[in-house]
Amino acid sequence: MANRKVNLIEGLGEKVYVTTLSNGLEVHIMPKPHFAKKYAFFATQYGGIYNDYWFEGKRYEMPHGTAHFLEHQIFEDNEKSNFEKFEELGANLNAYTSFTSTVYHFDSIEHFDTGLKLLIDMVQKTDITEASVLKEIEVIDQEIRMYMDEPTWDLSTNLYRGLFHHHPIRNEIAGSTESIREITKEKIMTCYDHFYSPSNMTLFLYGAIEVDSTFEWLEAYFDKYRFRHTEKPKLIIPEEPYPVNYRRLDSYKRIGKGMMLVGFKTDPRLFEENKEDKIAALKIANDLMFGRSSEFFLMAYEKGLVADGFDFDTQVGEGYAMSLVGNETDHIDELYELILSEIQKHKDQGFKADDFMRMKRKILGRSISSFNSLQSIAGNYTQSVMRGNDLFKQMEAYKNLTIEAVNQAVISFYDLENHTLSAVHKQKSDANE
Amino acid sequence: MINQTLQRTIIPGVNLHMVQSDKFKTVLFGIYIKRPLVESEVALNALLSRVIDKATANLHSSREMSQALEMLYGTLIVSDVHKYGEKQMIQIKIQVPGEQHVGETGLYRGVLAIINDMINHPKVEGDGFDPEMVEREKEGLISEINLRKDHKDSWVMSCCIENMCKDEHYHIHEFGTVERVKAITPEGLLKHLRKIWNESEIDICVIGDYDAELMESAIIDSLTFSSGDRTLLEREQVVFFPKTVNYYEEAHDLTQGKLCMGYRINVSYESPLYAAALVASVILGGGGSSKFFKVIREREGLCYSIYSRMEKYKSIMLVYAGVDFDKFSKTESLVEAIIEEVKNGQFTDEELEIAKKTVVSNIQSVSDYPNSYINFYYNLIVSEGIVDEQAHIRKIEGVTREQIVEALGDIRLDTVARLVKEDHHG
Repeated sequence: MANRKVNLIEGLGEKVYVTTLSNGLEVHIMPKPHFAKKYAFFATQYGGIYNDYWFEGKRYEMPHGTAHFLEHQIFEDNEKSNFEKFEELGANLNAYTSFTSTVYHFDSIEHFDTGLKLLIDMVQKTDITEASVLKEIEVIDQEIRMYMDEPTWDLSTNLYRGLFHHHPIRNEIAGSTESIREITKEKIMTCYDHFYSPSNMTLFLYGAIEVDSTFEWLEAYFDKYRFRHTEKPKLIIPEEPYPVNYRRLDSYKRIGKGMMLVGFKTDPRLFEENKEDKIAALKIANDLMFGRSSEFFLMAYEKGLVADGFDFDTQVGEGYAMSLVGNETDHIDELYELILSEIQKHKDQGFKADDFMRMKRKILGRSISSFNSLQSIAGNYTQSVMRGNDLFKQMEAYKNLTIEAVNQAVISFYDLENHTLSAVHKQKSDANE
Repeated sequence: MINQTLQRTIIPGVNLHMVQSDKFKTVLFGIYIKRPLVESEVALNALLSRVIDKATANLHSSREMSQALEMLYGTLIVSDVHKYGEKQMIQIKIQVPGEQHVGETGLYRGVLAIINDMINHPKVEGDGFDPEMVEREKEGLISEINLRKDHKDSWVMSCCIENMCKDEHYHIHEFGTVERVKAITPEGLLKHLRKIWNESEIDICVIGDYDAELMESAIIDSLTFSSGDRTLLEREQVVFFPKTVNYYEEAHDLTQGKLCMGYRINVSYESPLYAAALVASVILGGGGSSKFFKVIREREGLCYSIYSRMEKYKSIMLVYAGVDFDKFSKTESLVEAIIEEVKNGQFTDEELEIAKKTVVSNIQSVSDYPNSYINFYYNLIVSEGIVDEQAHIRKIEGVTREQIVEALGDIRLDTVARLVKEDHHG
């Protein structure tokens, strides 16, 4: 089509074509001709932290868990179960709500275009009723209770409450068993109206798909879903102080083994420039400090302080940046001290050149492996766009990384004075054990 | 797509399966050592799977081991035990990036040399494994056994199976018991390794984009086996008609009740009706269009999670649900009523077609992921001796309404396990 503006995003031998339809919907297509299966993800910029926002000059406050509740309600259909409609095509339908987005997706080998129309209709039309909302409160109540019975529930809930004073990441995506009871049909429909306009949404397609003709039939098909709004809602994130809220939170539970997680909080403005390079440097630094081949892990393992589940991660998002380290242990304080002294050691001494080179080989091999499955490429690409990141740039960033950048990352990111320890202790049972 | 599959017998009882596909950028090796599921052995096998990948005679610590694997472009080794009916498999899986993608040859031989050392040249002291290493892994395994109780959904299913099959080997958990683990010595464990490597049936599966001849010679050159008699294991008993339903209850610190209902299908996987039994279980509890989901979650709002699962080798169907503490009976009655309906042929043609499509599309998509494919492939090797994906799909597509009714003719509820809220005393 002569008039269509199409941008090309490239990296690691992959190509993505991006355009904006006349109703404001952004569409990304990654052609992968040799795969049998095709994948579609239909996403809105609306997730668990969007409970307080501005829209068309007015401020709205919604109960925690509304985005997730709405995700459940989108599946409602007066005539027929949406799951059945997709399964008739041999397609698998699912959805998830993250902190920043809600994503509906399906995959199929055959009848992909039919499935895509069903997906668009399911999300752009609703059959939400008072009764469907009341019934769903009970289903989600059971979902939240299921999460509460998982052994790591207290561990992560306490950690986020300790790290943040006001940032909405403190709250559970699904809300609480109390907050979901404040959700009504009116509130759901208001959020649906504000967040599910095509101009606030993105459609992602992966697989053996012809780019130009797909853009054109989507343009025609979306004609019946014209813009309800052109403005995007604006999330309100309260000013978050630099220091953590609590340095330590302890809880007690009847579990087989204690657990601990240390969160290091830093200023997110650190990532305003060269974000991908800085994240790559931090991820390598974390692996060198705490990975299976580190001096730390060997020592902690030989002392019996850590088990196979020991883990670490760095997360950077809108208004927050943090690293998390920890897992199951019966020696919470000892492991905590060891983690702190390990970081201090690397701040002082830096890393060794041969360790750094080995880690680059590992990362190269692992990024090759990650391209094994179209499903994981599709999932990762969708998630990174919805978080405002560039997946290709992030993966390329590892190639040009220097040991100096990795040393610098530890020095500037880790403020040992600014962290929270969340500990869940094994509660001795009081009866005959 | 899967391009071709080649099978070779390395020595009697040790078979090599090479599955070639050019869509994967990695090579995945799976080494399967087949053992009987018996009390005297499960703990030994479980501990062994955790000890062998920690160090070898050449790589002296878990750190040296990890560093060697990182140099091999982040090669992953996962070694553990799995239960296949009344057999226990020790599985060692190794994922290596394809040599052509990193531009280096010798990667596969490098990895195979480490695997061979893990088994034939482990880190020993005297007549046993390194005792410190064994002690640490014993502690780790004991804590894993104790932690099983913390995951309430899988725990209620374990409770159900352990009670239902208390007189069959199938009740045994693949990790063994704390007492059995404690009793293991470094010498006993080393002796056990030698015994299983020499006496068990072993399958080696390799999936990826590689040259078959070069791969075959790399494997034959790198891995050492002794020739001799390898024990063949017997098929488990699967037909049971319980006289009464067995109820089991445990009190836990919980916010939601956990329910597991165990059914005897009484159709073995060798039976021509097994495909119908599998489709029936999908009509009942396989995902968002299943009857359990539509009635118990969507209509009644009783739960978030509800599904059924087939234990193929024992012909058992488990139904799981997370429900409010006062909704156990109601949920159980609904499950029973829905099974009764399907057993009497009360399901639509559409429900049947959807269930068949779901099973077929699951089979078709396993070839998209190396690990699912290797599991699918090995499962068919164990149960049918051959892998014919298309024949398997045709069997599912051919399932009729009458076969579903016939396949459920002998289904019996055997055991109901509930995790309830404990009373707070004092």
